[in-house]
Amino acid sequence: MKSFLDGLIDGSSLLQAVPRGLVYTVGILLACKAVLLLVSLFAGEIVWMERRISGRMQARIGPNRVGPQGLLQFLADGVKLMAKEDVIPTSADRLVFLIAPYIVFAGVFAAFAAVPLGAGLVPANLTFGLFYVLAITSVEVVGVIMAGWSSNSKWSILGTMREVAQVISYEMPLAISALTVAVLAGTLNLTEIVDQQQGWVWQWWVLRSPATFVGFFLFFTAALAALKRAPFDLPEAESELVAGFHTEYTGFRFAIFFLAEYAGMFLFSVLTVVLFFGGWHPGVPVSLTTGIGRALGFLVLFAKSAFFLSVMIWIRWSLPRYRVDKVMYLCYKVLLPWSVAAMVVAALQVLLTGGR
Amino acid sequence: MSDAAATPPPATGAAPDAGPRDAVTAAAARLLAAKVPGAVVEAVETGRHPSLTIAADKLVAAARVLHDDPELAMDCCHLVSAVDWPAKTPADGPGAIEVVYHLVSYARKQGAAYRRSAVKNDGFLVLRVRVPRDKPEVPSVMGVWVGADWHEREMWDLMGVKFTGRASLRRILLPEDWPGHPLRKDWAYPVEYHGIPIIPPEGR
Amino acid sequence: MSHEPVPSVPHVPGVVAPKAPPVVDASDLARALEERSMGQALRTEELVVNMGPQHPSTHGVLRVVIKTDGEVVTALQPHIGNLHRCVEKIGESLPYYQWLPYVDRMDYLAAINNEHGACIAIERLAGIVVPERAEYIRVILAEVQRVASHIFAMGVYGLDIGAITPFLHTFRERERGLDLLDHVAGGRLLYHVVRIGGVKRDLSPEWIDECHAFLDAVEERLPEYNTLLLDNHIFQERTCNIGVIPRELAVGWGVTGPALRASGVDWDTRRDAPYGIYDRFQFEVPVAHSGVAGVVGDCFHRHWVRFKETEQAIRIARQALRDLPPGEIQAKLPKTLKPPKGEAYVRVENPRGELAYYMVADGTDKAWRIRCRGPSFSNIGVMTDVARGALVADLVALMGSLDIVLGEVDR
Repeated sequence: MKSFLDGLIDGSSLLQAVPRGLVYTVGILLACKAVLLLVSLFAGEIVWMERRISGRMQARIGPNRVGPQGLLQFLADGVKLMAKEDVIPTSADRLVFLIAPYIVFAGVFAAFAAVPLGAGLVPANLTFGLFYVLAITSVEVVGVIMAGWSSNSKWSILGTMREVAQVISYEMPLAISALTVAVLAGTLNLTEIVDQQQGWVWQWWVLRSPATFVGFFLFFTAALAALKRAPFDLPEAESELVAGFHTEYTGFRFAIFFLAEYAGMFLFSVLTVVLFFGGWHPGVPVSLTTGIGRALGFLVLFAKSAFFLSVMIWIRWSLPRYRVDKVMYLCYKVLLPWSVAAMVVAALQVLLTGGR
Repeated sequence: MSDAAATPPPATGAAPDAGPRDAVTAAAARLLAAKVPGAVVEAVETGRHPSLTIAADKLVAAARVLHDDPELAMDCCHLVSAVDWPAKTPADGPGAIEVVYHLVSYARKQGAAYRRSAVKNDGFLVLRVRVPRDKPEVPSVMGVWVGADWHEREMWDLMGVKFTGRASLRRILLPEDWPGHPLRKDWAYPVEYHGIPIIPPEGR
Repeated sequence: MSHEPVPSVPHVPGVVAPKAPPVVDASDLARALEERSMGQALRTEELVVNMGPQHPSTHGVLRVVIKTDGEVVTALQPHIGNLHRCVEKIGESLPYYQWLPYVDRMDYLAAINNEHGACIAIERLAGIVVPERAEYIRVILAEVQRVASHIFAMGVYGLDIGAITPFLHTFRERERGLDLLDHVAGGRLLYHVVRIGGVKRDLSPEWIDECHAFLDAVEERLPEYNTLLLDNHIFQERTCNIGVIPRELAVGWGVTGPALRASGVDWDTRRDAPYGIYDRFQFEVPVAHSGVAGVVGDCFHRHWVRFKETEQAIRIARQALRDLPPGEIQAKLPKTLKPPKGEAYVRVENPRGELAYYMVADGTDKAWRIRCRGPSFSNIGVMTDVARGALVADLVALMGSLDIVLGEVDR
């Protein structure tokens, strides 16, 4: 990002006149805006996708009236939610209640800063990108806890308790299974991890080692738990806790939670593709690093992540919900040992073959 | 206590038509005569409505015997109901409330032979307890059949039968502050309830 | 939990946590945590939660006050009566003919079965003989209703457990069943088609074809529902060994219907104390036995019994359609029905359990006393004894598996 802005400043006499710090600030803000728009747009379209797919699965039609095939449904939803009254319960902890949705969204949104969406299409190409993404997504949990606690509703508190229980369960298998790739790749930089997967399909990390193959399934399962998607949607379990932590939220603030959930889905499916499925590389040895190739690469990445989004949606609408103690059992006694085992295998592989 | 119900209630099928005895009722009458003497006030074993009328103070003992007996094994209290029989004229006394228990046995009714024999009451054993209308107190059988709990509460709620010897007898369907017990024949419709006007069916 | 407790979370004074016997592992966990907790440093309190009357899983306006220790339910108290509509009181002030539509509103998911029982009770009081064809039509309608009710219950149970799709799938078939009844009766849920002394409308040959098609469709789809629910691993984890109602408890509380059979009691009123013409049909009574999954009496078996019963209901309906005789559908009745003094106690097998009517006639055109025994009324009661020590999620699973309809609980 900095090099890009430097190039911009060097090429323009107008920009040289203003202080560099200001250019950086404005540039970063503009970049944020672009990512925000992109993420919101995708989140909206994922909502549409989810509704259409679930409609198909449930032998009904789904939204098909607003725009072609109902594509603009998310706009209608957005307008509807904005028009609703923003109810703040009198007994709520007002300030915390008000900012909680934004913290939830910020957790997801900030992660996109380090996630490459195409060759060079990354706001901040961090050397510790994977670490950063895993760390920053945990912020979302803080927002959820804030929302549940400040609502001062019993259902919200129960939902928060479940969220806390779930977080301490899924975080470890999620991180460790993602690290199987990092160990083999020898880097935490997501762009580098993708570039290592250039070439044929079998260059993808998921097929390059038994450790990463297992790691993918563990990662995806833990990601579902991180996203609070069925069958791990305990914190909001509709039939049990009414709506869990966001029971008391209405209107725009509810929309933010909604947006965060779908942005999170997009984030984790992109992350799955980036880590295990070759990122923007289509699985044949072509170079998609320049010009139109970048755009194509982005489409490839999007298509791949759309597949994982569909799987998430498919799982959500087929499976019943786990019980809270079963989730913890699953995470601690199944996912965690397997992910540690996968990690050890990956480490042994590095030790014996020198990586790659 | 049942003697206190001076008014004989209108005959509810009291005219015993000829026909076979109801096996269950007859067996129960024999058993109670042996185990709880004085419990059965009146036994109707034939006819359309075989039933045993039980003295209120012997009810729990009788219920216990019927429940524990390996032959009858009345393990389920299907329904507790109550019928209000007000006196025709004030001279007839206070009138009576009849609490009716329909008992049934799941433990015993597994055999086809039994099914064929139970023709009269669909296999039910009907117990009646008659108490005076102004002092409708019946001992609770909740200790024998836990399921009677809610039925007794409902009968207290709607009919005003006071079941004694149980933990709490709260209203179950109506609000706590509802006036009176609506299924009593002399219950008058209140004019309003918390500002909500009540229109009795005659006024519609 | 080292926060200052939020002041408005009500603290129930004087409530000492009753230490219920542990039923699930979770309560063991809670107790272990408590024993090991840093004692006086942390203050914990029980949460009193109002589940309902506006809760997605209480199936109507049931209000359950639960006391939870974390997620573990330590005590619960159902409060009913929100839907009380004085059916019994109305029955005393209306002639028999006019009272009949009210019974539809008790168990609004099985209106035909309600009417069936009420009509049998009144007919028994008045000594009315129902024409043969009407008896068959009643059975056909009642079994179609039972199929619709059971597949609805199975789908909604999925919803309670968190699976939304099976709900909509079962709804698709249920609507077909309701359409069938609609064609006969002219209403979607409340029919008033079974009348005293017969039925209101006859079945046309087209209707019979349509009914066969419906039964075939449901039979074909039942395995599909099972792949989503009964055979699903998560479903089994959520329902097996959860909310176990032992046989004695079920019988003592007066639990009836699928819930009773799920507790291992081999009893079906249609077979064991047949009413109407149910003694003419061949069918099996599914009874829970160990060897499917879980233990007898758990939520899984209640669902399982419901599924098996749907198959049997289809079987009965087919036999009735096959044997349907020609003839009258309505007995000749006087304009005002005045049954002689007497009483009747009639129980019928509703989809939810044994519905019973206790009717006392005093020789006039109105009943002296009508008492209805809604099966759900007794089925809910057992919850207080079973749910203690379960998790909130299990409570939902238990409530859903009992398949209660508040309309008949409150009447």
